[in-house]
Amino acid sequence: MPGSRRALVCGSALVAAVASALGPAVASAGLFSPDSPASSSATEITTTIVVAVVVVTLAALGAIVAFVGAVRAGGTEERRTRGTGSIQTKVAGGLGAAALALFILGVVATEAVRSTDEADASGATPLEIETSAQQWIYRYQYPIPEGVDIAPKPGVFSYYELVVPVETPITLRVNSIDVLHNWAVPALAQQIDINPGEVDGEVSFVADAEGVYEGRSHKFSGPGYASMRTRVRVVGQEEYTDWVEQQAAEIQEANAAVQERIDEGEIPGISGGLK
Amino acid sequence: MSATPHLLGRGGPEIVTDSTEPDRRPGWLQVATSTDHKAIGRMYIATSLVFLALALTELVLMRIQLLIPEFDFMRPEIFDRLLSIYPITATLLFAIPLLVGLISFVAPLQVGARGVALPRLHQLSFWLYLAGAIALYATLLWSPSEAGMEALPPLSNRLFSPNDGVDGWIFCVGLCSAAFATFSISMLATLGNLRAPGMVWRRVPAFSWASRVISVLLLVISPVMLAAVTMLFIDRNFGGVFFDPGEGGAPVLYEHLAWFFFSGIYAAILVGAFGAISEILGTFSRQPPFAPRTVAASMAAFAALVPLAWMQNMYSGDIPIGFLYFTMLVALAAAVPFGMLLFNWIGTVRGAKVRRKAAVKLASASVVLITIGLAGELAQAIIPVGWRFGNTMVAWGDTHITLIGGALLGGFAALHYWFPKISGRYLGEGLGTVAGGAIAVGALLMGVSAWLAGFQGMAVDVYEYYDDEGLLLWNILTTLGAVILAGGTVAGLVNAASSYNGGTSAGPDPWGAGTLEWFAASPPPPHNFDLVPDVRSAEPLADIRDAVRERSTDWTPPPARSGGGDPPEPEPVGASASAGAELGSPSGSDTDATGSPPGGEEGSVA
Repeated sequence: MPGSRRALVCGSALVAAVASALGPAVASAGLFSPDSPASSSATEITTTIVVAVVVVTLAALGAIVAFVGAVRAGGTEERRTRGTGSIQTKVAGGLGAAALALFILGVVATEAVRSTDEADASGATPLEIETSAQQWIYRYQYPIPEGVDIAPKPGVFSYYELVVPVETPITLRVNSIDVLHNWAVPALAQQIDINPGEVDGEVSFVADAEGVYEGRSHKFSGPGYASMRTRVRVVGQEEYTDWVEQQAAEIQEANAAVQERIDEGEIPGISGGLK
Repeated sequence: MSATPHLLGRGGPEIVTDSTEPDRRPGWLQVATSTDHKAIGRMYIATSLVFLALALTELVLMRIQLLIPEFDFMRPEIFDRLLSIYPITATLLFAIPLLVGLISFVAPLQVGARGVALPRLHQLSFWLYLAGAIALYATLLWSPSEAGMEALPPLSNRLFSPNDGVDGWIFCVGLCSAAFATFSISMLATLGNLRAPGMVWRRVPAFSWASRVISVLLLVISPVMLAAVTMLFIDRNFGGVFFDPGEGGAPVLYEHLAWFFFSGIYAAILVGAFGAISEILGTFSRQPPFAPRTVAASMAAFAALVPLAWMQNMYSGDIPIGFLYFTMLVALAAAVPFGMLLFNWIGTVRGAKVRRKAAVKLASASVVLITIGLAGELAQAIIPVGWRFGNTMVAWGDTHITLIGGALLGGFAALHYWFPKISGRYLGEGLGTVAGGAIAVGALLMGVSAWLAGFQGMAVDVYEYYDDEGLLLWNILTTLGAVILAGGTVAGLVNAASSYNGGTSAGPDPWGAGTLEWFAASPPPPHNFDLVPDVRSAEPLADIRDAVRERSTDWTPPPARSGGGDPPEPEPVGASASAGAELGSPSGSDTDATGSPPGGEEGSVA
């Protein structure tokens, strides 16, 4: 039926045009705020896929309605025979092709996101930060840079806020000390489940721009789960080194103060030194 | 009282009897101990609607807590208890039992059976379900589970959930799984063995096909969850280490098993909706079903593919990428049978004058909501999207739109359609339509606002959110949607309750449908059919109507006899030899009243 086919083509084109216009608009509206190669490609891909699915759904519905109109016009007898067999096969084939296309798009998209997760173009060794999740806070343990004088235990650590240098590949080695957790800072990296007992979980990213990025856990872990948030503060390279040194100094100072009180016997039940 | 089995084969007289002595027991006891699939179906439906009210109460309470940032409407522990109980109530205590109740009532009638094959097993399934429901709600009196929707270990282990609430949760899920498994066995035996003569599989109507598919699905997934909760129970109470990472177990195993089960439940709810929608749209279009074989195959394919894509809920987990690709492929493939069903439904109604009854309107709303929800699920099945939006309110909104569309709108549509058969009265049209509209609007408002909250990073299962997250507007709208949804549901429940005893009386065939359940009286007697007709096509009742019409229009009174004596009694319709051969009655000369469909002529020739 030329008429309905024309209508179908025009309708699909209109829908596609509207959706492609919407896509960048939605992305630029800042609903998603990408700030790293991994995240920006993930965001663009996500937007594209969501838009693609909407377009495909609407086009499929439009095609079905138009196509069926052509079939129905043939009348009851014809519809009975034409409703089965070849038309069903054609529709199934069309849907199958669309599903396969979406699958291929999905594979391409996934590989794009995963490849940006790995070591960045400069080939530098990633900065590995131990991320320990517990009910209901994150503890980040930083590698001790050269020249900073602090023992590995306690080393340099921070709770809740992760400080990382800009434009440096970061790998978070995640572990949980109690229940199942999750770490998700959408602006920087994909979310990752943190299974207790798992030793090789990790997520990598490179932050493009300085700033503060919010995140939280996405796996229910008890009454305090709502407050299990985190923050990533991306600072310049120099600033990061300064911060690590200062953090090391403050931790040593705090430990020394507590050790003094232990030595003077002010803390009942504890003797000897802090481990 | 179960009917004596009828004799298959031609030539023998058929004896049908319900009981020879009046039952002196009180009515409620009779219903409670009944092995009649119709009574059990009614009990399932009534109980499921009670849990619908409870589920919506829990939802509204949780949404009120999330109305404004850092609201202290309730303590976090209370919220977590509601969170643990609500999903189980909504799926295992409302959605599936409503579907099971409808299947229990309608499917044996639709295939022309006089009863179910295993009545005591059928009865057992209801009591297992009720026991599971009581186990869960009894924990409210002591210490409910606070371990969340799925009670994932290690959070649900003794160390982190020291009270017995999770054990009550385990008993509920385990007993309900056992209930659905026993129900499935009974239904599969019935559908396999007790169909009317001539009711071959290609003539079985859509809802009975859906019943068969759902029964197989429930039979496959129920033992999986039963195993998972048994292992959790052993871990909690007998020092088991199934999910203890320190001793060689893995919590992710439970996640896999639980998500396989819940994906299957999701598919079962949707397939039930698909079956009901196919029946309703077919009947009210007054046209023959459009490609029924494709409908049956699509339902089966959908039910097979969706559970296989269970890992789409675990994209953030530590699973090798190959498995995730497999999951994505299967999830996208599941869109194909759904698309085929949409095509067939549109094909059924297009070009027809569809009668504007509440059942049709609710079924159409159900299709719209399911389509929107499944489109969102399709997007989230794609891995990077799942990484971005998994476990956020985007997923919550999608699941709610889809399952409310399927279970609530589809369930009410099915109730509007089959209420005359179940109770002998129409379900109120006006209030029913208003209720359905409120449910659809509320669900869409709630779901779309949840999507927007999820885009901005709101996670699921949170007890509160914070001022600096900018989520206030979306949460207000979500709560508003939930309230509208609850209001619509209350209206629907009130409608059902008042119509059950006070609605307009309906005859056996109020809609002029083509399937066999409308051949029985409304409500059917314990033996279902006075006469089980031979089935010659996919629309046996239409054939019967045609046969009756032919006999009525062709019938002429016999010539009057001269002389005394009473004129001979006119031959009742259907007792003539030719009609007897058509309708398959064993011997035309002996039968008179049994030859004519009870009340069928008046209702259906019109």
